[in-house]
Amino acid sequence: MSPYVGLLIGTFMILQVSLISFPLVFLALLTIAIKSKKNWIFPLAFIFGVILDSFYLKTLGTTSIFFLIFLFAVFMYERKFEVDSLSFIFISSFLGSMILFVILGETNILLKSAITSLLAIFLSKIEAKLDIFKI
Amino acid sequence: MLKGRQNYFLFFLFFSILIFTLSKFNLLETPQSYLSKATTSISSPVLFLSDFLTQITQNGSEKKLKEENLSLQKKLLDQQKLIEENKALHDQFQVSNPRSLDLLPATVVGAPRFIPGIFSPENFIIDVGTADSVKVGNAVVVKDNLIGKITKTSKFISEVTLVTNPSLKFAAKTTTNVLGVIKGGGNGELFFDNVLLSDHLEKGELVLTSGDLKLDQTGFLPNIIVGQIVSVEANPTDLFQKAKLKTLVDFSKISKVFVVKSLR
Repeated sequence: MSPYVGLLIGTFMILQVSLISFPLVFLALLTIAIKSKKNWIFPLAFIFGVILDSFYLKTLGTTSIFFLIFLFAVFMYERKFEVDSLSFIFISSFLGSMILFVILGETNILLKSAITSLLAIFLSKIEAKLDIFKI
Repeated sequence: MLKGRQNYFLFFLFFSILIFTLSKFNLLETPQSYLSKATTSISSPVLFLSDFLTQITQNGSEKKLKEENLSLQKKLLDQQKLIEENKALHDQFQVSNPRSLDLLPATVVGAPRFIPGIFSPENFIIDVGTADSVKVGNAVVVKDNLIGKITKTSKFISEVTLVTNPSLKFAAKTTTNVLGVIKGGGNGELFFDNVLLSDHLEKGELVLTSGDLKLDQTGFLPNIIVGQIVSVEANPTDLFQKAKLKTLVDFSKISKVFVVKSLR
């Protein structure tokens, strides 16, 4: 696993808990999972999910369970769809963030999910350009 | 490949469910509080830096005027309270026992908002918890303004649900004693709802807490400023009227708050 991956998700986590309520960690995990298609995404999803839960004072494991199930579901579609296409990233991030916003009890879910999925496309383009996930 | 991935997934899913179950039965309270403290110590400087950058970009005179306005509103309310108190003393021939609040200062360590500058925060994470005797239900204030209510606590940090959060509803009154219910509208919006059509609401009037303090000293004390009426929506066919409020404090620029622990 590239050290940049941990650094990127760590930075996103700090931004998410202190400044921006975008599900940045989820977006990073999703785009990295789609690009790298590696299994080490599961321990990362587990660890960062637990850290997020501890900060938001939620029952530990809630976010981890969501991250793990969602990422596994994305991997399941790997053979059926072109998962690293922009349309798949858009739809999966839209659905995933919508479920996450429901779990977090957020308002304006549709608008926020739409903005989140646009950010996911932007993020995946940057990730592809920087090429930090080829391991 | 798929089998290996499935094993990975099931292994971590099992651990997540195990942690979830243990946490649900409060068996992981201590590690959770230390973990949240560690996260807080990292996120706090980021928030401080963001506040600092906001402050240096903000117009100095505008900030001064806002602070002056806040202080004048407080003076006006104090004067009104004095008049009411004086009247009550004359009426009942008894001296009230003024009490001061036991306030616990706290630093905001997390104020996530969807897009900073566009969306307002609906929750704060503050750096005090059950170790500082903070309880769920304690009010959080800045000067005489209500900020929100403690909704979750751990040993070292707590979550404050802001008054603008749609999940927070409580009874309130205007300075002319018109009763209603405060409802958060989300994204910085606040409403004074369920006001009888026969009551009179005026633009610019202050809305205060009506007081719902419980025996364990949780809840809101009376006469804390919630907001100021900016518009009134009254439809003759409706049973109730409602007013849109603006808070006198800019939630996106708060870095220090006070938890009302008890009356002294």
